[in-house]
Amino acid sequence: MGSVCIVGGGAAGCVLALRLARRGIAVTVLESGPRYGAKEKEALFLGVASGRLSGNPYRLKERRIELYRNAGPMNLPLDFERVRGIGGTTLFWLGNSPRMLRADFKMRSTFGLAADWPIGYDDLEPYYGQAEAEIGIAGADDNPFAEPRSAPYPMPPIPFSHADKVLKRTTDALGVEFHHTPQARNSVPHGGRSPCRSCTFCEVCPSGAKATFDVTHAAPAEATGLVRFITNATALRLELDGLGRARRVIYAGLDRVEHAHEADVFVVTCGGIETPRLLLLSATREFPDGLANRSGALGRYLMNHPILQVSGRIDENVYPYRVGFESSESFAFYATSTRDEMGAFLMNLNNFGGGGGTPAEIAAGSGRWGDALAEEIRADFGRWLSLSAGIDQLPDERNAVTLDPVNRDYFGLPIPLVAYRFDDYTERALRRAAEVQRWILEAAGAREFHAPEQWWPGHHMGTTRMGTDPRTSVVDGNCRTHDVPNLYLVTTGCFVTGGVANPTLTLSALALRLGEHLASGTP
Amino acid sequence: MRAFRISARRGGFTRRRFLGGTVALLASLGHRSAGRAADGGALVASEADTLVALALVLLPREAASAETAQALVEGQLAGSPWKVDAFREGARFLDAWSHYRFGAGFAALAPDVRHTLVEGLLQPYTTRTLLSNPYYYLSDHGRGVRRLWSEVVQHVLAAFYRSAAGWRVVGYPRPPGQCANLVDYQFPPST
Repeated sequence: MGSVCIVGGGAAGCVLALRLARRGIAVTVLESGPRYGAKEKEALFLGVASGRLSGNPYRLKERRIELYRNAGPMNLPLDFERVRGIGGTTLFWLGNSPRMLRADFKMRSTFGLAADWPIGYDDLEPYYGQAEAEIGIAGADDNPFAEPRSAPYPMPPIPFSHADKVLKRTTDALGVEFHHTPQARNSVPHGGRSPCRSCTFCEVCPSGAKATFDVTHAAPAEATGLVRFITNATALRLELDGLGRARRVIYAGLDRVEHAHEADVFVVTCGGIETPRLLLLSATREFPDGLANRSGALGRYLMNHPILQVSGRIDENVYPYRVGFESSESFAFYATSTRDEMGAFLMNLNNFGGGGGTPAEIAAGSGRWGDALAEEIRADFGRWLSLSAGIDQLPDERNAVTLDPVNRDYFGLPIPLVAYRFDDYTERALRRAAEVQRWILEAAGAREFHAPEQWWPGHHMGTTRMGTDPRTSVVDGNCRTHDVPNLYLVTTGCFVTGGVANPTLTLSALALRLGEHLASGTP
Repeated sequence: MRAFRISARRGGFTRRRFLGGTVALLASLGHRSAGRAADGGALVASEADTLVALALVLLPREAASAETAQALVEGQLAGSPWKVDAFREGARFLDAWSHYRFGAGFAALAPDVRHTLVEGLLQPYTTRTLLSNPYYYLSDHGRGVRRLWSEVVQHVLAAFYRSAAGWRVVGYPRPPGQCANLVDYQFPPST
């Protein structure tokens, strides 16, 4: 096949570039952000660990490139987990990598809701295994609800934390199965990287144990000599030739000078927000509502996994803040038969203590000092068990990414305008999750609770949905747009429904599957 | 009390250089209160001594060494030059109150007298409510206490409990952020 241009050097872009290179295909990858080297990561880690940096340390210095605005009934914060840079959000992620369930792909057939994906678990299963091997997933076969797998995890699991063990005494008695979280993090030396050294501030992994795709995929892709990454190159629009095929991408760096890159095949991998935005920005006379948007589905059906965190105070110290990731999870309320009534949810125990606060935070809220303060901290610290639940959200066409008619970004282009809300299905799941979490915590001895906290991960799904019908979907089962034959999208936006599994592993499997499809030369 | 490292007595560390550095740093950070921070200069030794003596009162006795206290105060000012004015004000306020109550600067007081003074000064404020104690919001003295608490004491305490020594108070042999192994977190720190 001819040349391939991947727009977006994040998770999917890196996975796809490596797969294509290994099939002998030359690839150019345009990435809006920079490449973070080991020294820069170390500096960011020290900033996060010292408290000098908070939130997402990978925000660009030029914030006007990352602007967005909410216009819907709810505020969906996008900055927290979006990262522009080689490796994308894997630079910042915590690495939870469960597979989706079979039913997630067939919500219409199984529960009479939403729509089915045009592909199913069995289509993705081999690619799940390949993705787990390439990324380096540490896991165990102790999840009784997991779908069958054809290959073992490449590494033994990350062991349970002390807090997990405290929780499991209760959940085992209740019959709620908590099991190891499949983690994109080395439990043993793997892939030339060290095992995790529990540095706690996993947003920036200083040991290299966490899989970040700049290291696991981009570097080996470049080593083939077939892949070229162009950093700080923000795609502004795609242009077609006279035959209705994608011909070139126009991009610019911080100097705002426009450049064109031509290729035979284009794959946009800019995530669930920026991918539809780029296509909306690429409207033509033939596609007045956005490139590849004859269906009108482009940008619609935005989903996320809203997180509900409930914390309860128990008598026992669970010694939190010693690892920054989640080492246990439960599919017990994910693999349920009640998904026709309310959303499923995936529970994790928070090893970072959520709710109780660090000694410094307890000190800040105390009126004491000296020995009295030390005694107060000893009595309070570590006594909070904290559970989080990621909630299923169905596609709702009112939840959408459009172009802001008012505000412009650094390049003078309309910024994403996000409309977002919950429907009753999600609201019921949130209430149910709060009840279940409280039930577990009460059984563990908690009598005092923090008000449930809600936040959003960067799981932006549904906005370039997959389907067999060009009238209702943007891409087909191979991630090719229905309307432009040499234009592919591989992002979480392609998810028809989102389940509640963290999406990066499934996205990686989709990217690998697309890589094989492109390499096969099949139209 | 040993000489404070950030001091006007140090060769080459002039008021002009400090102001220049502070202004440049604040400009680079876009700090909102640049004007306020630029009116001071480095602490003099007596002010630094007072703050170190205060830190010794604030720390739990098991961790209250002069070295730890000095490092805490230094660390606060080294990383955040805009705190210098607030710390100086706090030191002067504390010394003035110490002279008024005991006829000597705070650092010159015996340790138990320092504890008594801080207790008497801060306790009414930390157990305050706005309605029951409007005094602290209206009088100069009340404002001094409030600023000492919120702009000095709380910063010193937070810095201590973020440090390795602070984490040792809750039994952690190493603070979060200090990498080690994939074993320790599976068990209570004492085992």
